[in-house]
Amino acid sequence: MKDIAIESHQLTVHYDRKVVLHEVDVSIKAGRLTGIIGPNGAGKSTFIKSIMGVLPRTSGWIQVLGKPSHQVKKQIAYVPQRESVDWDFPVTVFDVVLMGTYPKMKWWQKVGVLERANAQKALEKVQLVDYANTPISDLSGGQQQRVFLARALAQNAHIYLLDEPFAGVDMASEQNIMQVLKGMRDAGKTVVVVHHDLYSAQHYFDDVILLNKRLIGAGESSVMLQPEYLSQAYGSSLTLLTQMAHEMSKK
Amino acid sequence: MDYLIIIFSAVILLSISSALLGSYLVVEERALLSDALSHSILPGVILGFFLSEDKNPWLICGLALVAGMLGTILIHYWKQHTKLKQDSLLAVLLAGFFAIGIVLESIYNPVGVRYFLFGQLSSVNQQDLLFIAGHTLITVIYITVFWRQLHMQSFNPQVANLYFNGQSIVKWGFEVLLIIGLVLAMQAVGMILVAAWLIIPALSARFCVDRLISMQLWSIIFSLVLSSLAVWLSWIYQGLAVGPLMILLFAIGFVIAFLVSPKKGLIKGIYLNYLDKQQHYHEHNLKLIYKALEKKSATPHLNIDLNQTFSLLEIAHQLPMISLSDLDKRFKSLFKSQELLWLEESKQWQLSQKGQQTAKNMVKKHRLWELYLSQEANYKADHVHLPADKVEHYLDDKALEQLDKLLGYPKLDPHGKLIPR
Repeated sequence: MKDIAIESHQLTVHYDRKVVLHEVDVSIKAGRLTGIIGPNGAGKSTFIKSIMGVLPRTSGWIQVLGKPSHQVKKQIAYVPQRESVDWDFPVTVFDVVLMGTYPKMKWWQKVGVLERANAQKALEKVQLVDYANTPISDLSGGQQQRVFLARALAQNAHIYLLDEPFAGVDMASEQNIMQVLKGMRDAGKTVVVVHHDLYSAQHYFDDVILLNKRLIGAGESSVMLQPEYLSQAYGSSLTLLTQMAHEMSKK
Repeated sequence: MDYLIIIFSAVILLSISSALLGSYLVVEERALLSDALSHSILPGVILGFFLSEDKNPWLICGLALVAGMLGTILIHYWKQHTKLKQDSLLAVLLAGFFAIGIVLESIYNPVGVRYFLFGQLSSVNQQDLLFIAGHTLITVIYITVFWRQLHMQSFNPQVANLYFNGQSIVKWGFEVLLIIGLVLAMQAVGMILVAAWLIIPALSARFCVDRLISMQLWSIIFSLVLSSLAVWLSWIYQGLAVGPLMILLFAIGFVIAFLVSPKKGLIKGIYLNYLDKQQHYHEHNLKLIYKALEKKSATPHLNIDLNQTFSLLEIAHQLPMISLSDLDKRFKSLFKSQELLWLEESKQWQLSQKGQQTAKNMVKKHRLWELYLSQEANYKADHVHLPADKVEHYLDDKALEQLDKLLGYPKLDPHGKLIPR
């Protein structure tokens, strides 16, 4: 596999007439755990949505595994924000995880033994085997997020893109999710996570991409999460916050 | 073909297709949209009637489809390009298209349009029946073949569009089947009620099951049984309007499903609540007896003899805030559940093994929780009793053990009373 999993060049995205991302040049290394960090409205979610090709780009290009993303989308597992679906939908945990196997199936195929086995394995990894037949409306926020993660795992992709997987999630689930993500990284997968908590970022990620409408910087997390970069990303009004994060990293 | 057979077959076929399609509308929260859609179809239906002399279903469905699609596209467009919310858009669209339809009707005055406005099942002829059968067959096949695509589309459209090639074709194919289904069902129940005909069976099934596929099967059964019943009733009592009767039975069925649903039903909820209250009452009374015996005991800090026998009066003496008759009632209810025993020879009461166990457990939970609140959550000692009175009924054994461990297996509660073990 090549060293670079995802590469963007002069990527610019507009919503209506507002610029959300401006000329972002970034490469994400294969086999690494990368965090995308930035303040609210910095275009973090937009960035991974444009990797998936969900959003139209204004200009620039994105390549995944050296190809346009729509050609390799089966190799990319996308975990949208938890709020993007209706959790009262009449569906069981196992059925949702099974949906992860759909991208690699032909349109006429029915779910078979292989798909079920993949879904079962994914459920084991997120420790939700006991909940297989539970309706998703009975789950806690953390469990819901783990179900989404399991759905992505069942896809057996090379690249995983997660949009705010830790938002509104309990500590135990966060630990479980992080453990699974690190396990995936160790198995050679590329994992990209949109995240907003500066303090945990340095423990979680190998590399960090700092975004605030434009690229502030990208590199190893220990380097990127220093005050000089953070104050650029979060603006000078948040120096106290960055100072605190820095102090905490020293401890 | 026999007239009654045509009617029954039409009702059965329409029930199947409508319940299948309606389930998707319910889970996608599009119930109101289907109502707007049925109104927007009307101009197409009226034009179709005007242009064809023999009520040609192809022409009527074709034009209805055009009108329905126009309505759907308008809603999509406005939603994306303005800040208006969907409900206001639907209100405009529903009234606007309906008005167009009625104006057209007043100009052309085609025969038979009234059937579509208010529904007339008896107007269904052999040709219509064939058309209905074809639509139902295609709907069943379509949903079976594209099950995964449609399921994912309903649950998580963003991801469905991402991973399925040609997903938008599958999506629009569904809309076409839906619009034709609405046109066909309109003939039975009328334009105004047709949305309810699609939605109510699925909604009622939603009360009872937790998977889309089971929801679809149950809504088919619901729809089949009640609409056949309506046809039968209108056959017996000639003159009853069968369309509205169907919807009326559906509405009654919906209320019944709400009441008796095994999972979320009102009756089940009330029953569970009653059981809970009953259990809390017993637990509370056992705790009272424990406390009375504790007060009586000479060595309350060492151990309390729960095996001893006692009379009602002895206990009443220790519990001055409870009247004798009330206490008698409480004793009898504990006697019924065999938590309290009546010893005939000595005319005395005694706690059974089960009663002793529960009494001890309740006091332990209560006192541990009081201690927890005062030590870990900084509650004042005179504030801990009431919350503990509630929580004691809900702490399970596992939580109790954790609590005990956390507090270091204490001997006394914040009021200096013994925690039983």
